[in-house]
Amino acid sequence: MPSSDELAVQLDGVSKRYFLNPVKPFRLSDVASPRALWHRLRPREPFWALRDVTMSVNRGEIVGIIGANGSGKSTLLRVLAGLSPPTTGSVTIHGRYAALLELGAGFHRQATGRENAYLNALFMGLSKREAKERVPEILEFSGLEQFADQPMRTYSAGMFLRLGFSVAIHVQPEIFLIDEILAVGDAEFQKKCFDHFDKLQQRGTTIIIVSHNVDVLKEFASRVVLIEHGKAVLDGDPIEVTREYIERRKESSPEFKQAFRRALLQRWSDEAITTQQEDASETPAQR
Amino acid sequence: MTAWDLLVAVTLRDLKVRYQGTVLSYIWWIARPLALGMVLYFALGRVLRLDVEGSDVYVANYGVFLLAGLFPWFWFSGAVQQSASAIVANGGLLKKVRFPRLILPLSAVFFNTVQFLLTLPILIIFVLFAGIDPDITWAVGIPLLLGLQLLMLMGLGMLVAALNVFFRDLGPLIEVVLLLMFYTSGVIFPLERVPERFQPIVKLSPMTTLLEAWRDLFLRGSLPGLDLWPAVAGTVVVVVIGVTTFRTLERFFADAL
Repeated sequence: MPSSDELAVQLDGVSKRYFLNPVKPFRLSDVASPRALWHRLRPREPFWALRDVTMSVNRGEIVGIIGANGSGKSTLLRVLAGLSPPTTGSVTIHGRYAALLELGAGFHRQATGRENAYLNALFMGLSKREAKERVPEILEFSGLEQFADQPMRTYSAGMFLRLGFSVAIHVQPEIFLIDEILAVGDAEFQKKCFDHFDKLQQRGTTIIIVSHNVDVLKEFASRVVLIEHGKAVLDGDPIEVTREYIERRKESSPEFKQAFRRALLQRWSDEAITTQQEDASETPAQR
Repeated sequence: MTAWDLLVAVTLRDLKVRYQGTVLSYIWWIARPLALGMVLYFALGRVLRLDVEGSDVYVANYGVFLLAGLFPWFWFSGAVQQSASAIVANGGLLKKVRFPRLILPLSAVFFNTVQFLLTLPILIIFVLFAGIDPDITWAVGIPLLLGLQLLMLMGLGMLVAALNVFFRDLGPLIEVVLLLMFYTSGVIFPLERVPERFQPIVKLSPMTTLLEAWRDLFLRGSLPGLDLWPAVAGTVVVVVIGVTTFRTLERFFADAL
């Protein structure tokens, strides 16, 4: 393992405020009545997606970020990636980093796989020479060499993601920010990805990964941070933090889960009925 | 120079994608200025007969006069319209990948610049067919005006691209402004025919003197002089405002889209 005293990422009291949009859309008549106008112009309701998050990540660490939907995980990653400025606090990143928030973001459906791989690599910060060099490797890793010169509109969703993932891991950053994307492709491709992940780890790449997948975090992360309502509430051993996360999930919303389950069951039975009806209506016609 | 490489790569991809699958792609590039030139020549030159008197080279060659204004005009209007949507149309990419945002409006401008460059020979052929001899001044004048208009478009492109993110009414507004500018920037009339008291108003559009310079160059073989100052001043202003606006607003793009 590489030395771990060197700081890679530092977040200092980071908060992020969004404003909730007013419920009613703007109408011309709003200008006519003073009350409606005040309603339009008064300060919008703030929503704090991140509240005073302070954490640091050392070089070579693999830090998992876990939390319920809407808890602020993705906002945290976006702020880290420099895509969205923090409202207060500061973010410092030492070293070249790449953020992988969506596979194949920016792929053009009319351009070929090869062209998209090259351009995507440039977008992610590689130089022209590096990108040119790595395109063959990228295509080989994706297993799509045969289709490299076909326009990407002919690709299946799986192929699309495989190419996106292959580009991303060939950018070879020192710090890698990843948002929930490890479930890509078939079993074989997944194994390839995890093997590559191991390689990155050995090379000393710092990784910050947002995931719901407790098993992945337990296996790969050296540390896990639990985010709740925009606050980093727990930070420590992967096994302990993920256990706590599961406990809290169970407590938090039994009603929601029950309602969700009921809705699903309802939908399945509805679908079953419709299919039966379709079957029934088709049979006489066939005769 | 990664940003430059990226800019070139994006522009080339867009050019390739846009015209792939169209057999007559080159024809389509020149179709718009030529078609409009023909109609205007018919309506203004033949029906209203604007060119009956005078032996001036402008009036004698009203058809070429129109084309020499229309080609740079379509470069201008195409680049402005395309860069206005450059940021808004790429929201998905902007929200997910960190890269120099400047690439997007600039590649829209470059896209239209390449088109203009490739169609320039057609314009020159028309000029030659009208019996106007090529002049040595072209070698200096073309790069000069090309550079000036490119700079103006880069500034303008950055400005409209950034503002459009926060002020979506800008898209339709630009269409209206471009329509007005088409008729007031002297695409269809020479500046010298404009009555004295309207001159300052017409010169408000920096395109007026620039178009005049393009025509002077191709039809009279004269290099732009001090008359060009509104276009130069307009370019400087628009570049300064464009760069500052874009630089100030770009960090909020991802949150606003």
